[in-house]
Amino acid sequence: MHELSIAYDVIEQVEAAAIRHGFKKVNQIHLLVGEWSGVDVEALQFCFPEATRKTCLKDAHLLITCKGLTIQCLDCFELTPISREQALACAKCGSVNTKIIEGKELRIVDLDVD
Amino acid sequence: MCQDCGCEIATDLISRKILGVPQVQQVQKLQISQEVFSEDRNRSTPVSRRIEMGQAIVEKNIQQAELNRMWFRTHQIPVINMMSAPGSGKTYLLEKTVQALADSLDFAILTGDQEMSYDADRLKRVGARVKQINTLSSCHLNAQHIEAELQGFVGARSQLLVIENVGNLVCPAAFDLGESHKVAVLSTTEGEDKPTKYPLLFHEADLIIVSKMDLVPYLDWTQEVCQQHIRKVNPNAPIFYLSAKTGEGMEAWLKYVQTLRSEATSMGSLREVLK
Ligand SMILES: Nc1nc2c(ncn2[C@@H]2O[C@H](COP(=O)(O)OP(=O)(O)OP(=O)(O)O)[C@@H](O)[C@H]2O)c(=O)[nH]1
Ligand SMILES: [Mg+2]
Ligand SMILES: [Zn+2]
Ligand SMILES: [Zn+2]
Ligand SMILES: [Zn+2]
Repeated sequence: MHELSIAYDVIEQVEAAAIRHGFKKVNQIHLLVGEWSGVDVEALQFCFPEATRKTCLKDAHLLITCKGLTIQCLDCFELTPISREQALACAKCGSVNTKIIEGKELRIVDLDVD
Repeated sequence: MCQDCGCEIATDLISRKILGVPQVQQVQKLQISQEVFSEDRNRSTPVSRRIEMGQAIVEKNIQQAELNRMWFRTHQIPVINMMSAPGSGKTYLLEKTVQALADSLDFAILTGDQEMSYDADRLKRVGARVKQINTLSSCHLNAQHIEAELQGFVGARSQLLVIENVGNLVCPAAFDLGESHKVAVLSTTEGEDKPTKYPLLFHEADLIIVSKMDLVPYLDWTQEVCQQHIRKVNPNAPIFYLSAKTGEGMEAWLKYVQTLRSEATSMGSLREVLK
């Protein structure tokens, strides 16, 4: 629901990078979006072309890597990938004493520029 | 210096503008098993240069939330970020809380809605010190919204701040405001299964309030099933079952609020002693 403002945040960071690195045009931008980052990938893809229309990201290929949820058990340290509506419990020892280690990311990974 | 209490640290933090973007960091290797929305990772032309980025897209919010947190700590103000679906009863619970505690606790309330100031009006009517934040197109509060109210509205002498977030089970959970405690509210009328459908918000909550317990007789709702769903995503947080309407279960919540305040001040005096 706030994907447009996320797109504007992306533009702001890329424009700052354009000044630092001296480029004028981005050919490809690679984003990492966690399943629990609060961002809907389809909505972001939908609003991206319009949001970037007058920027150096115009015509850039948008590459999005989605990252699923992974928890780590605080008792036995096992990593467990979690699918939707599954309890946040360790697959090895069953403990619910866990912490999220992946799936909340929302990052620009890299840019391919001219 | 801080215009409220004269402390050095606070203004330094607040007035420090966050300029541009943070340093470029190396991003860690991605797992290849993930789904990729692209036909071709390397379709760029050979003349293309690759620039590693790596910073969070909401980096500005992350930094501002940390600055807010430091300001609250410096001034020993515990901060509750209250989150839920629209209409779970956040404002109603706060109205009752103000009526019960306003004489003994000087607390401030910030209430976020996309439009209108109904919530602030309701809270003013019961005597609350409250300010409405309209987020307009945004479906959640962010750390900048809160920062703008620190020196003027909240003030260094507040004993507690409650932030009523925009009613939404998804986005608010992704935006740290600098709070010390996240409280998730789930009303009985929403059904028992919302915690597993919207796991992040309930997973990160320090306290879960199940509201509108007076309506249970009219619903096909059981506490046991609700608790199972909550425990699937949050094994440890306390759960308070209450009805702000009848007052049933309210003591636990009121005591929780008062304890946050006394903990914050005793931590503060401990720091003074250690100095
Ligand atoms: N029966 C009953 N109704 C309640 C209770 N708490 C709240 N309500 C009603 O639920 C409705 C919504 O309550 P609000 O306090 O406006 O909910 P909210 O979470 O602040 O809503 P938003 O700010 O719009 O997200 C109102 O009509 C309240 O009177 C309760 O304990 N019992
Ligand atoms: Mg409200
Ligand atoms: Zn949103
Ligand atoms: Zn384990
Ligand atoms: Zn101060």
